Amino acid sequence: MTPPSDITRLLLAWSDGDQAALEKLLPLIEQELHRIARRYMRRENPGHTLQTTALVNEAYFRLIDQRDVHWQNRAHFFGIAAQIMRRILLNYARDRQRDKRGGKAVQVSLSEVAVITPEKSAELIALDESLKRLAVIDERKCRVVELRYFGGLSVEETAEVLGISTITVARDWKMAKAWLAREIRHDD
Amino acid sequence: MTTNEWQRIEELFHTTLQLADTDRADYLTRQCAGDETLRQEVESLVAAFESEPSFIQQPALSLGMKVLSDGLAGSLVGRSIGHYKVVKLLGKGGMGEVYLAEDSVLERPVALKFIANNLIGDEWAREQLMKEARAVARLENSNICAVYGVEETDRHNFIVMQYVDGETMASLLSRGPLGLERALNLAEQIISALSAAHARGIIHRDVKPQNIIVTADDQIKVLDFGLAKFVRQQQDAKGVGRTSEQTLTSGFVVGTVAYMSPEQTRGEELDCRSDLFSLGVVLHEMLGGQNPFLRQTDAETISAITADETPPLIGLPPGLPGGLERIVRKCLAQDRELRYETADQLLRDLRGVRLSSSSEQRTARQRIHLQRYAAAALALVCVLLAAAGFFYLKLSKIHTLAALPITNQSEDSALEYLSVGLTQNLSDKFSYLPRLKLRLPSVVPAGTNDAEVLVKVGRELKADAVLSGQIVKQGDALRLHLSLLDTADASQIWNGTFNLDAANLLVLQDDITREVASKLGLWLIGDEKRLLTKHQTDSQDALSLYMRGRYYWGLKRDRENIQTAIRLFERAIELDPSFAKAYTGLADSYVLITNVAYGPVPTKEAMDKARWNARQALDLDDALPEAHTSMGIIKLLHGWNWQEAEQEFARAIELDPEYAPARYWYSNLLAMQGRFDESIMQSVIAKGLDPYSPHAEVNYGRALYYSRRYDEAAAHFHKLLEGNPDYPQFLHMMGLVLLQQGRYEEAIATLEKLYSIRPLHAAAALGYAYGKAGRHHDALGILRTLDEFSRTEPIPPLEKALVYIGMGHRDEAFSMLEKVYEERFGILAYLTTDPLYDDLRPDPRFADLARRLNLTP
Repeated sequence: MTPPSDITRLLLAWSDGDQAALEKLLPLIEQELHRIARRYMRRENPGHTLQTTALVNEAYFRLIDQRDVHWQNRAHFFGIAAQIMRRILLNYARDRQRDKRGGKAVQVSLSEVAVITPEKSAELIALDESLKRLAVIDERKCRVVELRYFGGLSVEETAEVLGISTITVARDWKMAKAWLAREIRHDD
Repeated sequence: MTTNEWQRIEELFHTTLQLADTDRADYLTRQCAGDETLRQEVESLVAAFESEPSFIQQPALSLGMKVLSDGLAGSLVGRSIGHYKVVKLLGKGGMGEVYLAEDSVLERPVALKFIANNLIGDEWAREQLMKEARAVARLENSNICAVYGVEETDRHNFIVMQYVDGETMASLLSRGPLGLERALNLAEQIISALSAAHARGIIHRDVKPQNIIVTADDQIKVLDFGLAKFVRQQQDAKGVGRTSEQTLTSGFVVGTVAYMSPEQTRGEELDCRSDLFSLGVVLHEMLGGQNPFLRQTDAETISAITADETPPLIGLPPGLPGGLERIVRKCLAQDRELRYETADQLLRDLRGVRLSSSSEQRTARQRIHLQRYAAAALALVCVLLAAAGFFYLKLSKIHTLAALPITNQSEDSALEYLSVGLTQNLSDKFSYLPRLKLRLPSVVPAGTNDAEVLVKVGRELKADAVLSGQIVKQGDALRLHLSLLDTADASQIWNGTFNLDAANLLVLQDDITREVASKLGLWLIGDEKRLLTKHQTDSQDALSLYMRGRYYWGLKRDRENIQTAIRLFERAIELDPSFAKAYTGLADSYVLITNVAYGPVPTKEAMDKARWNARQALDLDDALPEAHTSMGIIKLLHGWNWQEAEQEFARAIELDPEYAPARYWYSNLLAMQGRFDESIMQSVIAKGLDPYSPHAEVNYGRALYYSRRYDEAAAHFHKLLEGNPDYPQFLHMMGLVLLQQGRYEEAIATLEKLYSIRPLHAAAALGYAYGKAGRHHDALGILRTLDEFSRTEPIPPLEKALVYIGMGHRDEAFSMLEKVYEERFGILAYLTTDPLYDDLRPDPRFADLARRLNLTP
């Protein structure tokens, strides 16, 4: 495993605007998320809901050397983690949809031991599309959704990450939910 | 929409939400002031918000956790796991994801099947899975997708499989039914795969078109044997009731219901007849394009499968050969007692149909031809029977077989290892036949393509028959020609040509041995059959690496070759850590390394490694003569433990009286003990076992030399040099013998000749000779040369010690010998044996050193 000091350095470099550092950082964080998730799934009763922020927080504490970073760096890290989760779920959902279109859905094959139901997959894809449109209108709201929904952050944490008040987060969250729900229903 | 508009909408939205239902309409009418678009916008947002209170309320994190822990979600692409570089995602199965990867050690593409951790909930289940995968890895059938191994690296559990480029049967069938001829051809291959697995007690449990790959040239590869039982039902994953043990033993799997046997849908214990049912469904689909049981829902499908009556076969094309429908029906019998009992029975019936269908299609004219052929064939059979009877009589007298080294005539020197390896493995196999005496020369005279020469060699080896072989290249294909000759009358007993397919070497060697044994009239009895197919390793790749290692080990002994051999053996062990012979290869290499290439590894370290590897080999297989020999050499040269060394050699000889290297070393040990007659006898036996080998000749001559029978030794080497005037070992030994005879000038001339060919090989002996002849100036020159050499490569202190002995400088000689002793450099074991040290005997330091070496001074 890449030592925390290296990952911390990458995070700091990226916070300073080094885009190449992000390229290196993404797979390292993703790997850690996988690792933690696998361990949790082994340990926990299946179906047990994880404390929402546990995953990303744990990844953060495992990967980043706390002595060297500021809260802004932490915010950046959480932001990346949430984006990674969004991408992973989306890829998974898209693959499911592809399987279905490929005609495999006719038979319940072994590959259909699904973690995400087809309905959920469709919903995720629609949500992603709408989020992209939302980002054009109001980027901050898109980030709030990303952090809260995909990153599992609380209102307070989201506020910290985005550097806005909790009240603003709560308002953004409500509005974004309403807007997204309406968009997705329109799509149907 | 402008930012202002958007902010306005948001403002109205939040306020409206806070109002009571009854107040909202008024509020919006007021605020929107006739802007209907704005009003609609806000109202629809409020409605959407309130109608779906749970929308994205629950973070996707728990979902993400499942995805993260289950599907690795394609995340491994581009990563290296162990020595596999993951190239791309091939697909997802019930167990997890399958990737295409590059095996960077063997440089070939492989498929890695990752096993999602939530499928193997506990250690027990994981072990079962690994066990099953290992069993499948042992299957050898060209229609089974080979499992190379199972690995656990970086917390990933995965199965390493052959990468097959092809299309699944499912995808093939999606374009409609196959033609009859093609369907039958493919069906035979699938059955052959099942038959091979069933013979090993492995039931597939999930035979379906998705698990059958068809390559571009219509070769079948069946995937995922026995793995289906490890895929847990979904409710298990959610923690409902069952333990993993129950899941594994019951036959039920979440899977493709439409291909399940009735007993499988009921969750009963399964046997191979369940696979035959599933195969019947696939067969039906291949012929008719439709699955006879598939219904709208699983429940309906299951009730169709378990119905008392097999449903009428649908969609089968008209005009199928009569037997075929009966065969499919028999596979699909509800009661498994009524199905085929074995895949072989099914295969027989199917072949019958295939033959009759193809002959039915022939024209009448062809039929007449056929009758003619049949008559001719009958005549041929009569001739063959007569011949067989003749051979049987004749062969019953064959007791001794000379198996000559297989030669490589492919003009591709990279294949040398194959000829060496095949020779060795075939001889190993033959040695399991106790009723057959073997002669296994490591070297044979040139021209052994010629039957006459072969027969002569066979007679010299006192063998009744000679087996010879050549590897030849024909186009891209490699073939092995074998021929078996009777030495009594030079007649050919048998010849055969085999395709050398890297993936099939293990089986091929078994086939050849069996064939030759039967041609020799040795019908295998009892244990012999088992022993013949006893594999040292189940890994083709490990075997191939080992064979290449032995090839480099046996080549000209220089630093590079030995180190290449070491690397190859190490890789073989990596692939199969229980491959005993690979450890002997390593042990033998480390024993050699300090002698042929002094310096790259300190003597002590090399010997520790040699000892450890020999010990590993013996722990794995105590009946390996090679391992006992290695151990004996280590105990002899580096433990100076004569008694135990002798026990090891004796054990090696007892295990395989024909194993010449054990004899060489035993002969050396006997000489060291002053048991010269026994020493010479062992070297004579070794010479008989390997009559054309220069090693054997040198060994015999050395035994004479150590026995101080210099005249005989001189005559021996003189004769050898006549045939091969530049052979370094012959020149070296000749020089030493001449020195002891006091023929200094001739000795110096001989050693100078060697010096011109291989300076380092000659230097010490030549310096010694100069010293003895009183040419101290030249001797000092050699010492200087040795110092010069030592700047570029390490020179053992023994070399200089010998020069000092020749010059009569005892103090320097002993101080050098002390260094040698401290290093525990092996050759010192010859201190009291080799006449070179005789001049030191009067010195008390000699006796002291000898005692420390456990030698009698």
